[in-house]
Amino acid sequence: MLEGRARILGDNISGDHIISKEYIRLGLPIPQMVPYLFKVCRPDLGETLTPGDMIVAGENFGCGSSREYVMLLLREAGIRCIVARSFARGFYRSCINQGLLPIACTIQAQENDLLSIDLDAGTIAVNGKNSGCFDKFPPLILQIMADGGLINYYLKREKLG
Amino acid sequence: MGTIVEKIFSAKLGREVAAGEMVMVDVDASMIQDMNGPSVVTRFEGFADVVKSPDKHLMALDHFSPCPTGAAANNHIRMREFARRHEICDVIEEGQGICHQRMIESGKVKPGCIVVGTDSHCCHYGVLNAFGVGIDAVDEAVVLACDRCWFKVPETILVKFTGKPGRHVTSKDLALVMIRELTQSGAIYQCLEFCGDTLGRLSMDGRSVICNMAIEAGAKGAVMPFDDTLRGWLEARGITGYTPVSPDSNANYVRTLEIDVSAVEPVVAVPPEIDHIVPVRQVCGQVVNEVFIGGCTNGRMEDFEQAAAVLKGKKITPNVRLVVAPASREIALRMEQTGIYKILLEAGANILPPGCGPCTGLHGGIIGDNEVVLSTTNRNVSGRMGSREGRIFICSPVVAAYSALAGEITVGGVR
Repeated sequence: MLEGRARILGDNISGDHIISKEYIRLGLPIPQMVPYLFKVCRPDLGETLTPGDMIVAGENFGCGSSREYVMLLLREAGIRCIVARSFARGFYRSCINQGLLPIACTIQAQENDLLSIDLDAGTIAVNGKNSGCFDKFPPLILQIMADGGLINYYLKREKLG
Repeated sequence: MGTIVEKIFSAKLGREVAAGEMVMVDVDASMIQDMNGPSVVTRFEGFADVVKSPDKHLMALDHFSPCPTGAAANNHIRMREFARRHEICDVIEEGQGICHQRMIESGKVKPGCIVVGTDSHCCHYGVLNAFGVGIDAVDEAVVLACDRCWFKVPETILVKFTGKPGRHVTSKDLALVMIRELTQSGAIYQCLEFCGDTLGRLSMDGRSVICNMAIEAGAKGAVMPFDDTLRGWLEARGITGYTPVSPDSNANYVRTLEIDVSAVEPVVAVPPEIDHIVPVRQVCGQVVNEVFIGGCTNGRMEDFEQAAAVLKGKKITPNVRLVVAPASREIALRMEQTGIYKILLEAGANILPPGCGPCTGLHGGIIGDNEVVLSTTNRNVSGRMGSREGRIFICSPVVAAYSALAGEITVGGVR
């Protein structure tokens, strides 16, 4: 069971919303860029993210340009899981490759609600009350996630096989 | 029981798979371009030493071509050195062409293949009855190491084009109308498969436009059927050793979209949304500062033939800059041999070397504040082709050519 605090965002949050190019141009090291996360769509969020928080968003999360540093930044902020109504395909893939859990599911959650995610059952509870279900991850994906992303998966399994 | 993409995956795995299954498969080929090539190299060097199958991969120095900055030049050095060290022979040097066009011309993509690449427009490869899809730098690094990549076998939307295109209607108009119908998120996670009698009237160049643009509806892949047009094209290029893939008659499609081509008019995509598609007559008179014809979407012979037919013996209006960029060196050479290069030059075009520069706003034909560009490319997001304050209308080469003469959006006397 994974637990975390819900942090709410809207529809069509693109790579440029997650971290705007104007902050990337500052050329700061990744840890120092965390406070600038989501600055253009929710200015308060980046500075108040705490490790374990879960993003809850609407449709097409991660659309548009989405480079690798977007993932690195989210991981640096301690985000382990994103729950969205739908994801842009490339972003969804990158999440799994980098060991970030992308859950496509519609839930009713408010800011700071407690989310409990049961990967085996494919369910999400909000403040202890069952609120939504999602397609369970197939074994291959669970294995990649458990190994900590695609490269570790390769090193542990494909390289030997 | 399968769609084309299900059958491609089933053949690869040696067992029947259906949409929704997660699989790990050997890919037949991959492409690495120079926007994220350096990331791929960094990732790869973090965990691996040996590229398993150097012959499968193509590295394209196409976005920064010829190099506009020292930083880009250094990235190219890094990619060339990586290719040399790992014996990757297919390095597309600056000015030789855009990655997708070169993948098609190189013979790396064949019917039935699964092909990946570090660019969102890899769906383009479906024009050869293959499954092509964009992946990220981590995926690509692992592909280099072991040839393998994971996929969710996608569901398929069947897109049926019927009827004969009217005057001035090109495959670009069909692609844009398809995106309007699907919307820009209408096909995420899903593959498009094409059918219908209109396809028989479309050349390989024309079909390429439709496959290339599929990602603008969010599609994961876009597959054309195997037919005489494709067979003839493969034969002419001496490409052999493939297995064509046809869908089963009882294949399961999540949706069928039928487009009556005879009712399609020349259209444009109005910025900043690629699915905001309107007939040219609705935006007639919109002043343009620059017209761009080229890119991986519309930089092939048929596109330039269409433009040249409009521009022959004429001059563009002095208020407009016309920028042209072929999709490959082979195409540029044929433009020269057929006299099209001269027609475009005489009409007033600036003809760039083959490359991605203007479309990605990197160099060549960049627009300034409050300028309007009418472009045959694929995306009209603010800032993509230069200033964030500029506007990008997307259209066919025919509309582009007429508009370059008029200095405003128009097509063949429509006002």
